[in-house]
Amino acid sequence: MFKKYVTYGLLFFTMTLCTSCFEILEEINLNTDGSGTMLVTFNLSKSKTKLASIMLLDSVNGHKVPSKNDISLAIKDAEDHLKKIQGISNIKKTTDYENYIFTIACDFEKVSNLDAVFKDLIQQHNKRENTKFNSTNFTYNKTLNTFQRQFSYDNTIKKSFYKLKSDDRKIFEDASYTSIYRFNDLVKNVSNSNAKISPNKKAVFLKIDAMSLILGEKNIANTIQLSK
Amino acid sequence: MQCLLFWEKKILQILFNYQNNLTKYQSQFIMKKVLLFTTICFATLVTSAQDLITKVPKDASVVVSLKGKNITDLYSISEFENSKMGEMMMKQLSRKTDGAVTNFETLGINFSENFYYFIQTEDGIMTHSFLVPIKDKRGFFSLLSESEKANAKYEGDLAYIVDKYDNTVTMWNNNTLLITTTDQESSYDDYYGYNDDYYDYGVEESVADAVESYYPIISFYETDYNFGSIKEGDIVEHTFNFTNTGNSPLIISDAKASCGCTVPSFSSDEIASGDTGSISVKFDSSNKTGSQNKTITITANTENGIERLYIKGYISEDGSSSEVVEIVEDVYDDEIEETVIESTESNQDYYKKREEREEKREAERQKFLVTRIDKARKTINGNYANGSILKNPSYVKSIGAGKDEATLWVNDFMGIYQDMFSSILGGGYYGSNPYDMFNLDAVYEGMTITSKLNFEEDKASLKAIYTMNEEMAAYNRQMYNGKMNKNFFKYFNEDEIEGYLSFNASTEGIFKAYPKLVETMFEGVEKEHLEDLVPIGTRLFSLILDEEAIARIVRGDMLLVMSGVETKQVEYTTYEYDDNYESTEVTKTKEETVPNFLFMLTSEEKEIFERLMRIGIKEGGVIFENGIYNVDIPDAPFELSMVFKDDVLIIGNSAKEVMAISNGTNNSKVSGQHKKIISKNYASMYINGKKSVKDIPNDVLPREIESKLNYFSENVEDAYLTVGKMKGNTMEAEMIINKPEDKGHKNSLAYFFNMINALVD
Repeated sequence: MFKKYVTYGLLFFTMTLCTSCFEILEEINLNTDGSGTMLVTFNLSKSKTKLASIMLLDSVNGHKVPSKNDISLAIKDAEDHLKKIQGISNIKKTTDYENYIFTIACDFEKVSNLDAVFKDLIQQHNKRENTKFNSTNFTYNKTLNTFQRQFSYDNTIKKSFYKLKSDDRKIFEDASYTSIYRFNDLVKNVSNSNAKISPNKKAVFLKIDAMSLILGEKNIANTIQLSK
Repeated sequence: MQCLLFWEKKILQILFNYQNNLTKYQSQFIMKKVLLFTTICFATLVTSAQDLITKVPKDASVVVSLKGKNITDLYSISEFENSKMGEMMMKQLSRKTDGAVTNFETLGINFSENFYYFIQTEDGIMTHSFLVPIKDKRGFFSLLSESEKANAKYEGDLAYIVDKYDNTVTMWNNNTLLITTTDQESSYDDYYGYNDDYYDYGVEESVADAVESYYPIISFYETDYNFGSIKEGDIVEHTFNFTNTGNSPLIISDAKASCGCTVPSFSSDEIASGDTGSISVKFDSSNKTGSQNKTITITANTENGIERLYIKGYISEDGSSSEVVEIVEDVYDDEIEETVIESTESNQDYYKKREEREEKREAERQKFLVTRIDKARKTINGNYANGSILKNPSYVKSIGAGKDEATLWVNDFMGIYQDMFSSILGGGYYGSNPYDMFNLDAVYEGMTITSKLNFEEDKASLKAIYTMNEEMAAYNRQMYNGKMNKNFFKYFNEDEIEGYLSFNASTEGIFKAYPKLVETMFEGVEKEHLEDLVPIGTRLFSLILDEEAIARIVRGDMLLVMSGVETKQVEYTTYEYDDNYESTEVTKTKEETVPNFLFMLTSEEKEIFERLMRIGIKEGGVIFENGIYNVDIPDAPFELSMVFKDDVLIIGNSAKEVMAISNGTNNSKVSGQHKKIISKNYASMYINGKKSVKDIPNDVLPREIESKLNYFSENVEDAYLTVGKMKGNTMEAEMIINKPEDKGHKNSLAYFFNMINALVD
């Protein structure tokens, strides 16, 4: 009994004192023939003290805390889902519970293969929640030599965000989303004013803080014109 | 051991459920009926009416009193009216009475007299009564609705109204208002088996009243269902259909069963007026025998807030039994009624039967009400054969004529315990009443609890005094009268801490008393199941654990100190990008504010500790450096440092701090006051409010409360909670909240209101 109270007390204190934030990294290397590799990284290492505290509890702010097993299972689910998609191969995942970094990587034959990954999920979500998210995320047009990252902001994001308790909203204040797309061809121009083109003209970098994304102030949609 | 742990867990679970359910059921009706009661504790007028305590019967098992004059002397009614809380309450009252009530004066309540609430337990029925002193009954009368006014009955000086849904009797004369109601949980459901009749009645009545009600009404086609005979192990299911016959949308927020074996499922979607919905109930008959009755309690936005469904069935090993015949007949009867409903004759028959049933119910209700009203008359006149509570020596001795602002006195803890438990938890684990198996008499017989709330000039205190029987007191004396190690005071500085938590039990005493206590609890109950099991379990417990040897390892006195915050460098991983946006993983550091703690316990076995540490070093995970042991605990957000000094094992999460203690270079400062609190009590908790608030870094708090934090940290002082050692047969717990000096708070009660004013929007 004593032990339990003490542990909970200490954890609560630690959680109150430590900040939390996370970064999501989306990297795509595209070959000229339309094939390529994708790597998605969830990096929560900046809040590892807080996470380690949370992980020892059953629930926080009324949310159930997933166990390591739950997390591994969710990643395994994602992996299984990927395996079912045609054109996706060489799936690799890493989990690091010490630093709370999780990655999943794969090769794809065509950009449309990547789209297929999310298409079903997004369509289901749109139907269920009556949202209007586009079900196409990535397109590569060989004739025009354009690579497109699509994203349509939906007001439900803002609504669900404001439904969160202020404690929970705090999580997003220091979070960020980064996308890096690398090409063999040179990049001519990009449509998103927040995106940066590398000096060697072969990569496009876009980092957006989570709050701007949630509130719809900034967008991750980008059309990249490659030279023919 | 296993067995013991199991029971301990079970008991905790029961206590937890008890609290939960108590809050849920009790507060629902208390909140409704007593909004008034809580509103009125603050006022100024003085008249010389008789104290209402004479209207509390000698055999009351719980008495709560609020001393009107004491409270209003500290915080006047006009001050309260001008506070945010007062304004909010007034607004609500004013709206409810269509503007008839504009200030607390117009309520006609005599705020300078004492208010009482008491519980009487008779034949398993619990009666709750509120006594409110009034000086002008017209004020109270104006709070009533038109239909209530019209239904009021008069008998000379006396007047009363009866709520037709919950049978609450509200009775008043020139100086007293009495609100009395029985606990529906225990009185109808479990004791008298009125349940079906009563609740049906309620539902049908409310249908008739739908026109004038704004509430949604959940009208079930049936409120009870008989599964008939069920084969043990089978899972059966039934769907209860209903229509919302009220005038507003119905929302079901919860459905719970009296037993884990019964699982209700429902949709939380809004059900519009006139629409239908359903609640399905799954019953798992595994490990059940004989006839089973389960109640499903539904929480919805209906007028009562709670609706109930009932299922029953007979469990047999092969699905058949003598009792089945009867049940099958029952079901059959119903079916006949249903199928021949089209024939006019039978239809009339059906309705006739139904009318008869209703008449019978109404007659029973009336009979019940007569006794209730009679009882209310007795209370309001203070007309008791055995006299008032002032004739109860236990009450007089523990409450007396103290200067406390509020008191609570609980007698016959045992009776309330059993009533509450059997009604709330229903049948379950072990027969119909799970508490039958505990010999609770031995544990709680003769136990009283007294609680006193005191608002003083400089502090507010809440005291609770437990008086127990000799047997329990003997066990408790053994367990809780340990010695506190004076060495603990060498290792912390009271100016730097956020708080502490101390325990001062005697391990040896616990190991000796615990098995005996458990044996006492199970004495003489359900022999074939427990007699063998429990004593063997408890004797094993004493055998395996040599109490003296264990007591040498952990004597039972321990102290946890939150010893301040420390800024630490924490490594984290992020990415850097080269010119071509190729990313590389890099490790950076950031500063994090970490709370430090020190945990100290007395142990005479330095040898055992060091042997364990040596194993740890060998296996990895423990590092010995600078005279302290650093232990890396997997999955924990911090590392632990340990040192054994004199007879104290010190564990902390700051290596710096533990090292200082090890070298003897730490600053220690503990005043006599804290030494006394820690060593003279069985348990104590201290919170240094100011320091705690200051230590929270600004950037981790939600933006909304940042502005309030300043006021809070300026105005917060410190608080204590102590649980004293046994003195004779009593144990005393006290909570003290200190008022800060020079902040303009008149007294501790005013301080509370000022804080609420500042922090509430």
